[in-house]
Amino acid sequence: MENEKVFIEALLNPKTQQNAFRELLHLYQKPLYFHIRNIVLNHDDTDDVLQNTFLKIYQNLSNFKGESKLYSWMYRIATNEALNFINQKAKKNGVTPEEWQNKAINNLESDSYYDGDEIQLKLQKAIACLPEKQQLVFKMKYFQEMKYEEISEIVGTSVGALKASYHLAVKKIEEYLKND
Amino acid sequence: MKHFDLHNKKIPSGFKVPENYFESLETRMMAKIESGSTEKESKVVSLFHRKQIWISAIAAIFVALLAIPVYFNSNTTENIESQTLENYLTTEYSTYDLIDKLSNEDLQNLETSISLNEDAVEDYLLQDENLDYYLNE
Repeated sequence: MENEKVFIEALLNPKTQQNAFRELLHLYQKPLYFHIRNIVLNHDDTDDVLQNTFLKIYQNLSNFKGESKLYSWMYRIATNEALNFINQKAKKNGVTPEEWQNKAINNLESDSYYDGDEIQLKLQKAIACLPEKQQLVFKMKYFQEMKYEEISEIVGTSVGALKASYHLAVKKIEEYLKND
Repeated sequence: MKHFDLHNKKIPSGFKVPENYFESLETRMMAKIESGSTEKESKVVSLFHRKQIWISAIAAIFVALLAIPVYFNSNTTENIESQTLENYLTTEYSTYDLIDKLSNEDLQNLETSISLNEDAVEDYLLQDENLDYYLNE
């Protein structure tokens, strides 16, 4: 994309950097917020992770080689930050990341920034039973409605493998919701 | 059990954000970045500093390890020069002490290993007052 090249140049130029970064925040804060929120679940935690993500993006702009698209590079940073956050929290509390995630789901009911009903909560519990990568693919495809090509660039897996992974995830979740 | 279809009726995630969250995030983030650019510098320094300490610690351990064999070798008798040992024995030990320390086997070894010059033996015997005694033996 030609526009992206110009935008990246503006981000790297000290004179235009501030304004360009403000624009980047404006464009990407919402999708990145919901991407992180889908992983860490709680709003305050998402706020922490999102700020760290943007700080990392800003600090590493000069390292961005333009080999991948800007958005997929930012999504990768956000994904890593979110997963690291869960692992660190779990470690600090002496539980496994899975246990931490289940605790976060149980806390959702009392979360003032969550208005999910019974079936929405059940869906979260069903997702939590999947392997990490399947969870990630399912959330990006189902909640964020991203294209397989976009997900492929972010997680570094082929489109074919992602399709298989998503269908398997859907099947398992439908089975879980049917039986529970 | 009824069939469940996730795509028949889409289930939203149910996540909400506080009012004006994104507007405030933009402002907070820009402020953080402006103050963060100086913070970044100090972080780099501190990281480098920590690395330096590690490098010096490893170097110190390495030097200490190298010094151990040198230290122990300097304390072994193998390194004492034979001249020094000879000087020590002649000044600090009497002939009798020396004989005391030698076993019969040592003496036999000495007898076979020392080759005497005939002239030297003759000179020695001529100076000796007990020559007659030796000759009569």
